[in-house]
Amino acid sequence: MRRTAPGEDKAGWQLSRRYNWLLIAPAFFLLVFFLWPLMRVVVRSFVDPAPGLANYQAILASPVYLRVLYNTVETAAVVTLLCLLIGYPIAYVMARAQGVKLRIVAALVVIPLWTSVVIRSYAWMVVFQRRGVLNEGIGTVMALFGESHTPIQFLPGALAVHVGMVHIMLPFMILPLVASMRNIDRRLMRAAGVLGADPIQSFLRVFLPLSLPGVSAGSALVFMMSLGFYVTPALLGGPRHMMSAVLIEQQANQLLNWGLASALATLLLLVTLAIYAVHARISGVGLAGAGGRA
Amino acid sequence: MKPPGILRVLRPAVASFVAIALAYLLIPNLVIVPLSFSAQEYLTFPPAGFSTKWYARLAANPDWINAAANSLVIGVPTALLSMVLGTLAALAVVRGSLRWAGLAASMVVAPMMLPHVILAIGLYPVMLELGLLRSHAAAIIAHTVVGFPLAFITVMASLRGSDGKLELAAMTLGATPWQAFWKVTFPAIRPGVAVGGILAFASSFDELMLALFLTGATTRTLPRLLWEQMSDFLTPVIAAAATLIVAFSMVLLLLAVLLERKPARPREVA
Amino acid sequence: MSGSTVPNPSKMSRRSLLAAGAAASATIVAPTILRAQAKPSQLVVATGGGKLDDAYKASVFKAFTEKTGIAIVTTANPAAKLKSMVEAKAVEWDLMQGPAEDFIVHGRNGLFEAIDYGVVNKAPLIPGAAYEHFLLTDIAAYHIAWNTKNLKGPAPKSWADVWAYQGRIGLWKRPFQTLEVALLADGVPIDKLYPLDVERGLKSLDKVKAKLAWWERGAQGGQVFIDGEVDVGAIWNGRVHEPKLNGAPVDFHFNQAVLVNDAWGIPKGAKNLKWSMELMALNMTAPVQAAYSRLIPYGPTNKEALALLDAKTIANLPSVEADFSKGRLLDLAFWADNSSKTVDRFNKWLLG
Repeated sequence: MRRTAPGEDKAGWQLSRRYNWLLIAPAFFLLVFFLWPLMRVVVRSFVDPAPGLANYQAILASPVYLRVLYNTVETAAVVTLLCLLIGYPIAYVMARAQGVKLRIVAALVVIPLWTSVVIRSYAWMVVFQRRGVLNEGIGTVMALFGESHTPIQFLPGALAVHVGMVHIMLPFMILPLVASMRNIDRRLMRAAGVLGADPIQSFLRVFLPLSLPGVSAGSALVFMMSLGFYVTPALLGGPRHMMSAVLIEQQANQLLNWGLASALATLLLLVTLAIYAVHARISGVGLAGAGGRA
Repeated sequence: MKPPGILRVLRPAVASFVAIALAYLLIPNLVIVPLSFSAQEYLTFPPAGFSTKWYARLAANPDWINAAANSLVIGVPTALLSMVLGTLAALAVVRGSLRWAGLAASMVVAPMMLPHVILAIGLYPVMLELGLLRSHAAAIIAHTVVGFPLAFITVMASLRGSDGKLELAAMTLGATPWQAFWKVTFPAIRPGVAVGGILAFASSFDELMLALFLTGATTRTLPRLLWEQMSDFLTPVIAAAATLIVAFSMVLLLLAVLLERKPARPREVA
Repeated sequence: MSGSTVPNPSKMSRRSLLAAGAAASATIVAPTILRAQAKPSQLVVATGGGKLDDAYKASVFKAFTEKTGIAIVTTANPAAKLKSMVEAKAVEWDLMQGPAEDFIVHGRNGLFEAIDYGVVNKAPLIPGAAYEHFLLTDIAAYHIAWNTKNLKGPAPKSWADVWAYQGRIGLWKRPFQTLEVALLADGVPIDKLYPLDVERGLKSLDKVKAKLAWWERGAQGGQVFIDGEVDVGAIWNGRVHEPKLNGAPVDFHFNQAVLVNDAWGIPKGAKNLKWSMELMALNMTAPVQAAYSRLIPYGPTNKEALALLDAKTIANLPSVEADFSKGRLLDLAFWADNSSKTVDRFNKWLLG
């Protein structure tokens, strides 16, 4: 409605109303195949196998399930933090790079993104196995010094899960960071330099604060996607490092306990939505940056 | 004021950190490819000997051929459907006059953000009731739910980069809205639509969780077959399959990059 | 409603039209159409995967496809899936392979179709192979194995040695067979195993719990020994026999082995019952069983199959006729009565 600005006449108004109708097909599709299934999950968590809160009580009463929920949030937080620490310098280099250097860095960031998640997790399994790349590598080096190496038990383990997940999430951190860093006006840094700030100061006082929108977008994205991870923790993590998605799949597919699976899924849904909402509030827009016509 | 000493240490430190981090990103691909050419059945690294027999075995196994076919039969319609729905939604949100456009946009993007397992256990009973469980259609629908937000985002980006007033101008000059769209707007957003389609295909091609719940033995996709085989045996056959899948994905990536690079020509009509 | 009282004329005419068209068409085409209607293009069989799958594919499935033109697709065989498929009346599997100890319970719970012994010939089968809802298809050995690269010190001679080993012990994550070897490790004489003392078996497992690395599917089990994920433990002979011959760092022996059976059953409500039964029947014939035993060293349950095998192949087979005095046959009768409650007890123990 703000579109009826001066210069846009009645025809424009009618045209934009015509465009509104186009939302019907996607909206219907989402209603039937997205919102309706989600509704069913939520409802099922309260009625299967009997109406009531039994599924939620079972979760709250079980140290195993609570640990999985806690573990899910903790893992997502650790992965987000690691992605930020590793991704920020890469993004910094990428945002300043030009020409061939930019292309090489961009390719190295994007190629993993296009490599199947299942395949990458499998590769990490090969790396971390008892007789895998890492242990054999250490063994070879130790042998040079005449020492023997007892294979370290990486699998199943938190280290392998973190390494595997950070690898998958890193591009999702780097790309929003680069986008926001590229928007930073170079002249501001130069101005800071003219005013006597050394490069470290101008980075801390000017560049870093201006890159915070990217930090926030990247972190929210990584955290949310990490919450729902299945492949990596299922393959590399044991029962002690189980995450919610693995537990939900197990409850539904292997134990046929759909009510409990639905309750766990509902909790996961709530946590994800909460983070989405907090992020949207902080940054003022949805992650898609949609709706912001400014 | 300036402490050049620290900088002299800091710069190479950051550079080498970034180099190591980038190397880390390459590790999986560097492990898989050599393993697929190993001569031995059991896992050794570095792989002993050189052999292409795992590729031959792959080609002789109908399971892999069928899974590849299923991935295409599911991925291509997913891409087409995603392009259509994504474009429609993007046009409505960007060009329309919806008061709650922001909400609509977040709604469209939501399936991409939510853990797939939630959607999977929700869609399972729905597909069962519709009689679609384990059909290609079930996977196409599910993959479109999570894939069309990608097309929505890319189309929205190219719509923002094109000028909406041109369409009005065309209509003032006598074009019907339909003509105005096809002659003016569509050429401008075509690269966005195409890239969105490729992204949706790629996401379907890599999707596991929905496939686990919704496909069957005869409709299973490559990720699902990989997953089933992986928990079984780690012979280099899987590495060979993985290498081929990665190679295929790289072709897709190249395609997407080339399309995006092609300069949009939104103003050629004007 | 109207359709049920009055024959639908339009349907009739369409059908007769179709019939006329079919009759008029070339006689070469007609048989293929009829056959295509009666016959599925493929059957789905759930199996334990890996080497077992390979052996089925190269023996019984190949023979079936040659005979009928129906292709066989295999998939993983988790028991939970059987239950959910049958309960949802959306059965995907036409046939399922799995441990006999499980199948007895599935049969009782109504998850399997009854075997049609008009189609399956049970005359040549060894005693006790033919059940109402499933058939025992082979004899395997759950035996001591180890990774030769990882092994420190002498190879384990008994289950007690396996239990005493300082390292990772790989066992099947099911109560059957695993409880048997746990009791053997605890000193129960092999001829006095049954009835199993379940609690004593779990206590025996408690002693090695920290060293245990469970494997869940046969294919995975073979691989953890070959890759050295575990040092010593238990596995079925068919999973490590061929890898050992091909130079994989794995070895085994049959001392104190528990002889066990694979079983085949047809899920209740399977869509192509007639063809499932045909496949079942074919799998029990002597030539097919012999072909299977040549591919994977599991003994046949068809007595006539042994006659088709050479001495060298037979030497590797666990079978009732062969000299397996150092091991013993699993008592399926015990598990028939105790499977359900022991599975529950075992799963609780796993969580504790």
